[in-house]
Amino acid sequence: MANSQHTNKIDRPDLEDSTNVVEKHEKLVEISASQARENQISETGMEPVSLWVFLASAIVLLIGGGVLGAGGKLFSYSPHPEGYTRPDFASDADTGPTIGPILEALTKRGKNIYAKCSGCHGSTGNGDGNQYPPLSGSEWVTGNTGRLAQIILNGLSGPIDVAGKTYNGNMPAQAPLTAAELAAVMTYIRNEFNDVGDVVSMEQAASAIKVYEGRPQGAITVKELDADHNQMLEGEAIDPSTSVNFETLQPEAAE
Amino acid sequence: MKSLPMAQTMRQRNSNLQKPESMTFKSFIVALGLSFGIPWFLIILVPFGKMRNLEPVYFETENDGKDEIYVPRRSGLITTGSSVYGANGCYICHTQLIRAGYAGSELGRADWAGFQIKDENGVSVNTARETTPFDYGDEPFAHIGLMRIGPDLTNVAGRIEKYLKEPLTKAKSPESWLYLHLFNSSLKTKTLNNSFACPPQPHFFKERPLYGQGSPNAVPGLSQEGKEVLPTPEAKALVSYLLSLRKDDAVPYSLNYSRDKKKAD
Amino acid sequence: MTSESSTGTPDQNDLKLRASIDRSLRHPVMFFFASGAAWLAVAIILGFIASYKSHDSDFLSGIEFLNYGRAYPAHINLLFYGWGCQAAFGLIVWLLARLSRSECRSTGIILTAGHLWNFGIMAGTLSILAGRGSGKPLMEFPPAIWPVLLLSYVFITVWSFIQVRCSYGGKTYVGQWYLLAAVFWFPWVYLTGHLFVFVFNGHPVMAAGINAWYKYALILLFFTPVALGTAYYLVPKITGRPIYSYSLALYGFWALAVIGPWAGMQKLAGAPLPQFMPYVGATATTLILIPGIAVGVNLLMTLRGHQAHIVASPSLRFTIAGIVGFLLLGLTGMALNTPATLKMTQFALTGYGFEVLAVCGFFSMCAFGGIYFIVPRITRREWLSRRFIGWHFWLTTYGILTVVVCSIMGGLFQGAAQEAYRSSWSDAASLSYAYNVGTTVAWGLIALGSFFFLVHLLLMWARLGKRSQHPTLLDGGHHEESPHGPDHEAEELQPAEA
Repeated sequence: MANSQHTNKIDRPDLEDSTNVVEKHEKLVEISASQARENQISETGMEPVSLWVFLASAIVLLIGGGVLGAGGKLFSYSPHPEGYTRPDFASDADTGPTIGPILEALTKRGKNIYAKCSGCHGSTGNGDGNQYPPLSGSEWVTGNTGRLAQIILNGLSGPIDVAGKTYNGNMPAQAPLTAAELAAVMTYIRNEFNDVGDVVSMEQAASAIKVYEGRPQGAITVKELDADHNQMLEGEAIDPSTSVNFETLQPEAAE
Repeated sequence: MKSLPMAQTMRQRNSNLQKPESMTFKSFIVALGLSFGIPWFLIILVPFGKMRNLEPVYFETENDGKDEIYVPRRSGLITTGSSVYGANGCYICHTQLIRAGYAGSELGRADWAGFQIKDENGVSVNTARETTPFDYGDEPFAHIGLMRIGPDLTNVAGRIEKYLKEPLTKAKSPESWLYLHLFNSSLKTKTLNNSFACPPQPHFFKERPLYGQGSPNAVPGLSQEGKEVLPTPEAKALVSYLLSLRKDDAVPYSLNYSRDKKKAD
Repeated sequence: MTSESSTGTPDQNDLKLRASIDRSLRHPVMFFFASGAAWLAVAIILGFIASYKSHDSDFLSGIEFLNYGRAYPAHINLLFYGWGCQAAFGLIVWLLARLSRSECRSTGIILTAGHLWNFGIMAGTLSILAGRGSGKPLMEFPPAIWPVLLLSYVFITVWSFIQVRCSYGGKTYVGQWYLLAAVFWFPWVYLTGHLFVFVFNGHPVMAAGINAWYKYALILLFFTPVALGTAYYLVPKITGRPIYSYSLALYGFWALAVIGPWAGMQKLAGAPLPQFMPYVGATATTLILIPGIAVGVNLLMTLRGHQAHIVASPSLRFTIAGIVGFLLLGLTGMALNTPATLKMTQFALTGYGFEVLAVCGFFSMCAFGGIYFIVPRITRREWLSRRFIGWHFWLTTYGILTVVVCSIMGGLFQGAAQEAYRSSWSDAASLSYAYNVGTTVAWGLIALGSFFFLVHLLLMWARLGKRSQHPTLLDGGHHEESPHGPDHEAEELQPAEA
């Protein structure tokens, strides 16, 4: 390109019409600066393929070979390899007995459900010493199941005295819970972190849920708990050693 | 092209001499054709042909105690339901494949591949099994699925029966459970409460004023204030299709990959 | 054919030829780019909506045609066929014309076929949104549409193919191999996928298998070669340097040709299909890193010592980002398909992330590089705003990286939780929440970047670009040596003559 001194219109930069117009076989060809400044594609270079490329390709090929190995015999048209048998998923870890005492059935389930409570109340039920009360040694847990159930379902607001100390946190509501879930978690915290020795039955848990539904929405307070819910939940008590099916939680004789 | 200046660099000269014979156009196309055609033949054409005429599998007297062809029975509006399933993108979030044990672990997941039931002798047995080539019946396209955002649906009909027994469930029948799921999946039981639920599909329903006792096809649990909710024919087909999805039946001895399979006496 | 101009130096004749090629192709190429960019915007918006719904199912829940199960397939199909294919067509037509040095004489046919393609896409997308999709992944357009699309494809590309054949003088450029291969492979892949799934009655699982193969074949045997052909053209063209190694280019090309057609069926691992097929697919996807390494080394070594070009030139920057995307694709392909990880990733978010990386992170970046190079030449204007280009680049890059991290990495975590069969299902399901949110954010970023691109492109299409001899460079042109050729300093502006 010519330098700035050139007054030729073609070389004048910016803001001017940059199209050069040329005749080509009686056809106007408009050439723009962008084509004019293009480079030619040159001959491809002749560098040899580097050893590193081959090495890297070999590593990838090896990994690919490993993947292919999982595919069984190549071009064999059977869906599964020769002698395939279903792995034994069930006995991979102790899933435990499927029929046993209801105490065991509920505490096992309750342990899984408690996992989300352990964030505040601790994995051993000791609380955090400050905002979240312990469940171990707590009279609210070991006492009447009515209060405990309503705390779990509704959440708690306001101060509460546990084992001589006042806690002033806010517990979020854990509802909705199925009757089985409520029974399980209550049984768990009453027996794992304390020594109550009884189980909360599904019937009792269902009646707690009914009470929860009957009450207006919102966290419950200690005052209301003591006034309205300080009794054992309605429903037949079940002997903790009753043999039940772990899946259905219905009584079933052991085999 | 630019004409080459008189003085070429050594490299340029060498490049002209060492340049390998370029392929002719014809050989290029042939090579492309082969590199595509061989895999195409081996993994598309041949398997397609072979699987088109699958040898049927039989129950045999000495192994299974009976002598009949194995044809999984499915009842319901399978074909229409399958196309409604596809048209509404259910296959994006749900799969219908129980993979063999070396390829995945859903065989071990409770209620996915089969159920814990009592057989005729009262023994507790797990009916879980992998998907067989006969499980998709006459569907033109197996809705294997893209992702598992929702659970696998291979045995969903059996699971729904279990869900109906849960306390606090609103549904009274498998159909109504599914209609509630399609209308708004958080309505089925009080416990289901997640933001990644199946999206509501209100286009499967139409609302109608309630006359008298109401239509027997109305979805219970959705009617309110003089209006009832009826499923569209597409919804009925889809629900019928979904309720046919139960693939834990007994398979012949030759298709049985269980560790403790026994020959029938 | 070659220039027959009797006057002028060889240089000038060459310039006239290039200019006349560009002039002859301006309508179809610009149509493909503009229409493709518009479909891209729609596809991204649908992707954003679908992704939002995946973590908040009440979002727009009243609108039936935006249901997740319809928005998601519409998004994917538009991304592949609306944007991907049309950008590819524009690139193929222009690049093959330039590389075979012949003017296009059938622009009318190409343009008509392009409009037919558009019509097919629109009809197909509306059908999906209306609930009439076919239910087969990436083939959700109703069965009447695909023959129309195939027909338009033939008319769009047949001229380019014939011109290369006619001008084949035994000397070809690397870019031509890739583009020719793409043009050759597409109809076979498309026809195989659609015939075996829609027309021939086969086993339902085999139909699903061929469908899975089709998706990867489209990515690896059409979008990949078009992107690589564009890159192999742009890098030497913009820098004026030769490609580093002919043998490496040959090696990379034939590696892709041999490996690509096997990939795809890994989606059906463990299915009642002949066992070797899914694992052959997984192997092939693992081995894609081999052509990736070849292309990466080749192009990056070509640019060695000239990093300033990458910073300055928008086309080069996008192209190299695309090549990096291809390397990333190869690495993730390897990571996601080993037997241990395949179990986890088969039904997790990773498949989606991989497709997005392939189409948006690799193909689209190279296509943008091509578009930023080609459009000034066919409109004879320069890009208006280097800031728009910069924002387009960075927003898209951030968006793609977010998708990679969320869908691919997050998908691995999700898959691992899915495989933990003793834990409850909702644990695995709830794990994907954060990654879905991340994917939505990513689509938002990409949408913003594409918005800048679309506006910029439409302004160029409306001939509102800058009339200038300077290229629009990303660093303001403050450097000694422009990658696009010599330049004028702004201070040298002369007042206009009356």
